[in-house]
Amino acid sequence: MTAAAVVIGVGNRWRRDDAAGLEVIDALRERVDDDVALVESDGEPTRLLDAFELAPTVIMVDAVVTGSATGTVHRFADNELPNQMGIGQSSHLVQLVETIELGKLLGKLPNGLVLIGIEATDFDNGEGMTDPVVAGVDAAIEAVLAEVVG
Amino acid sequence: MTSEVRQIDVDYIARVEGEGEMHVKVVDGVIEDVQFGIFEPPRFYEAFMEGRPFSEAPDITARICGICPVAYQMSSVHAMEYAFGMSVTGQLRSLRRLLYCGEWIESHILHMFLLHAPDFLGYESAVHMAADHKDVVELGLRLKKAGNAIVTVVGGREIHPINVKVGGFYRVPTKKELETLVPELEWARDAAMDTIRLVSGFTFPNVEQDFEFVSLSHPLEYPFNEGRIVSNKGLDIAVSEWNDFFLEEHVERSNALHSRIRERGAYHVGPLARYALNFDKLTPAARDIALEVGLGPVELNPFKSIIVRGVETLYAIEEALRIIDQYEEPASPAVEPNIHAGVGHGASEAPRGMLYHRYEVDGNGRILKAQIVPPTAQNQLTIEDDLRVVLEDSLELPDDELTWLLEQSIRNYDPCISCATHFLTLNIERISTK
Repeated sequence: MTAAAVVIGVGNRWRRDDAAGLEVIDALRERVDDDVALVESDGEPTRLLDAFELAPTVIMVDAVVTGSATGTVHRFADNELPNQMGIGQSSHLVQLVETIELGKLLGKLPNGLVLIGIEATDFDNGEGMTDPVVAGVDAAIEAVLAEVVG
Repeated sequence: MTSEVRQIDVDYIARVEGEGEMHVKVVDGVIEDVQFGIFEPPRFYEAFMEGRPFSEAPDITARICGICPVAYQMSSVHAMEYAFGMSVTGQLRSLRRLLYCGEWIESHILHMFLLHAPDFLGYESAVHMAADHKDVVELGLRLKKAGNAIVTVVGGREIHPINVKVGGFYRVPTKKELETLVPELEWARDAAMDTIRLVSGFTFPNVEQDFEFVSLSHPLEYPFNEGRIVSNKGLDIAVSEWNDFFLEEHVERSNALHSRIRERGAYHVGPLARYALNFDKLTPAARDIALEVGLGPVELNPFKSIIVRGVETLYAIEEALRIIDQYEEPASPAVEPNIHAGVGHGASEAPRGMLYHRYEVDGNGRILKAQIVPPTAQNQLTIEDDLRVVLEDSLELPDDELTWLLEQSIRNYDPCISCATHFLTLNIERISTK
């Protein structure tokens, strides 16, 4: 473990607003020092578990839907995330929150994790985020930097 | 917990691309309707590729699925190579098989350990299972990493490999790079055997169906990239004949096209099909352990697909070791295509079953038309048949146990939510008219 912090952007660039987490990672490449590891993820659980081990401070960035205004940036500690566990959530992928729980159980997140969420609305096929989410990405970059530096 | 935060669930479901649902209707104890609906086929990608250069097909289609990008790349490059009348041989062909080995290991292990095993062990999720069986989860994660490592070295990076092109690769690995994979693969070979013995000890519902199994078949090897399309009921056709023998139908309840064999109906693609049709092409160790744990050379119980995935994982590990051992760096990383107008067909064996691609390209190599038939769409009718059989045997169960069993039945097929659907709204309607 050489990095001080790892920032993991989760998303899909071909699903409109879902690109938000990855856009944050793109922008951070110019903004952070070498001791901050940047990881892109499509949410696949086992690689996320590997990414958790890259640094003691783990920050995840993803598009979320909570019902607030589109583009709103949220901050959740891992213990503030909803419990999504249960059968039927997914036939194929382990959910993100489940993966975080798994990471904790396996001792991969000794210091917990912070999720920066960007409120999103459009998950349709295609490229290009909605305007409020583009603005939300800018705010999320600052939020991540505050976590990393702070 | 506030209701505001709870709604994040919906977001994550949306993020994983697509949605599916199952609907079961039982009237006075009689099954009236069973529907397993997939809502998101890769039609967007088919349309999106029109007008793009042939060379972009592998990378665009790789985006359809985060779990099986290699399958999409392979079916697309083979289809383009067919259109241009070329074939890729020797070490380049072996490297493609090696890349596919990595994907099978990753995908099968993810499904077996994190998604399917909890069903059998009575846990609601991998997290619940991990609390009691940390060792098992850690074994699975380490095995999967052995597959990830192959995809990273050959594919160029871990997710959405970018190194595959029509004619070969952008860059080929050195012998040294491949040899770094060997120690972990040797460990994985033993771990896969332990895994097969472990999962074969699960309790399996006693369900068998007279499936029509369909897979590629090659005279010399267990199929990844090449072969004829065969079935256990007499089908034996060239890949280019797919549309003559199979039919994609629109079904009202689902955006996905359901595939059927013309004038015959449902068929089954995936591990059970490959295994039944290619048992003699497995490595001796894979064959031996399959028989040791009680599989026959043909397995008709879909719940035992978890064991067959283990056997295929062992095969993929041994095949990877063989390819690495015999590898010599090829003089050139790719064969240059001679571009001309044409129609190309490609089929390869994605972890969850045969994936068919067809392209029409013009004289400049631009894509005029694309057709992609993912394995989950092909299995959809068979999954519904399985659900009906399971229901008939288990109607007396309360809704929650029945739901569990039906979901487990669907998971037998490792349905691809990334390329076909996400899960799962389940609706059991019991009507009593008396």
